[in-house]
Amino acid sequence: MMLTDFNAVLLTLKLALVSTLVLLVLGTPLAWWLARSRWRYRFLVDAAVALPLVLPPTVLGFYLLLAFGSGGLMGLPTLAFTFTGLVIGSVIYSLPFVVQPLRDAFVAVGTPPLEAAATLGATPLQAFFSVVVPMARPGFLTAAVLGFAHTMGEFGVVLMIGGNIPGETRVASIAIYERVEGLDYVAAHELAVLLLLLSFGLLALVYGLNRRARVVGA
Amino acid sequence: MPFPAYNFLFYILVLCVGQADAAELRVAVASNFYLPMQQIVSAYEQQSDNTIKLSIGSSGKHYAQLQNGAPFDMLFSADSNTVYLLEQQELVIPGTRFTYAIGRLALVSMERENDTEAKLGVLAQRAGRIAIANPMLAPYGRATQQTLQQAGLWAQLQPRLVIGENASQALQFVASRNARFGFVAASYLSMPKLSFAFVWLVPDWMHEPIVQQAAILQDSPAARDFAQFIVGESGAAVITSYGYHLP
Repeated sequence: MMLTDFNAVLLTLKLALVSTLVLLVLGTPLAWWLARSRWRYRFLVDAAVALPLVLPPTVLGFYLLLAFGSGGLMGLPTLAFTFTGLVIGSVIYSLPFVVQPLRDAFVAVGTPPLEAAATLGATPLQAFFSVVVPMARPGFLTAAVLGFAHTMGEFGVVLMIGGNIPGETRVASIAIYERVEGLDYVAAHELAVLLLLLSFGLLALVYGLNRRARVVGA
Repeated sequence: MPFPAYNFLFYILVLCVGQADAAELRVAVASNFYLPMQQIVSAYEQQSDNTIKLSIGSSGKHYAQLQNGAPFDMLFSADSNTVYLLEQQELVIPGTRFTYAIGRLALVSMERENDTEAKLGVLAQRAGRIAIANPMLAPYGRATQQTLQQAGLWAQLQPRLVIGENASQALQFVASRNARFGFVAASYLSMPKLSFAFVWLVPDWMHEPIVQQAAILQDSPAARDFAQFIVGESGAAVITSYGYHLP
């Protein structure tokens, strides 16, 4: 395998890791709010969070491209063709995959443990970190894995806003696509197999851990 | 109640008779030729009973699809190599490969650039990203690379290049103002809703000719008729009006 292709795989892993961390930080409060809020229009937020599931990734990428470009009108440097731009795209693209499992996990925790914690004098924040987080651990694992895996498979968004720059935006899916388009099917197969094995290994590992976590939790 | 049913049967009958000698062609077309092709098709359909369905896509994708039995009657590729390779694999009707246009490359920008004597010099003088089609995949990308090499700018401009999968994506990067400059197919200059503040047609001597070839993949009188139409007078008029050279 060519070094450039291997670097593309490394870049994919980096993008998935950074995006997942950002998603966990942003997605946790959002999921918590979705799980606890009694606001009558909460369903609108639920629908908005699910939108990236529906929207074709290239369409999402196209609008990101327009958004980044309109910043250029105000003299700002565009975020297109940068790693930061890809992280922003990935966070939007993978949002439902992180927020939905977290929300469901928080709903499953329910109110009684929180009331108990409050009775024992815990602040809401203390209760969240010492009661909710351990109880929702499988939810966090699922959210992290799905966010990571979904970002690894990201293609349409990157295709639209990436610009195929080695080390910056040329991720594995783009590299595979480029090989296919260039009729170099051997290199495409090699990359695809590597990506497939990596993804399967990762998913198997975390689902294995998650299974144990559930057993311990029960 | 019986009348609507009779009417319905009558229409079915008319449709069947009407279509007896009309064929429907499926034509795969490279994105840079999509606009002129649409115009040619509507002119063709006015003088023929045959109808044409266009599928836009890159030559690489069409190649992979055709290898796996895609039901296209004709292919209009952005290059000559794709059609040649298909011919080698006997996926093309022998003797039907022909050049329909020679592509032209243009340097464009949405911002006004002061006119300078050496037009490529503007790239070195002004900062900003330069969008190009992928030189490994797209004939317009290859021509861009040759042009910049010819001008001795290729190495110097390398860090500022952003690569679109084809000339149409390079256009997208410029039109959305994410890249300041772009090398695109001259055919896009005729897009109605696009107005560039700066356009420079790259002289043909700066790169190898962009030879765009087509071929018939499934033989029929309709396919041969449409091929004749494209190379004929009205087809040629549309092709040149989009900035292509004729073979």
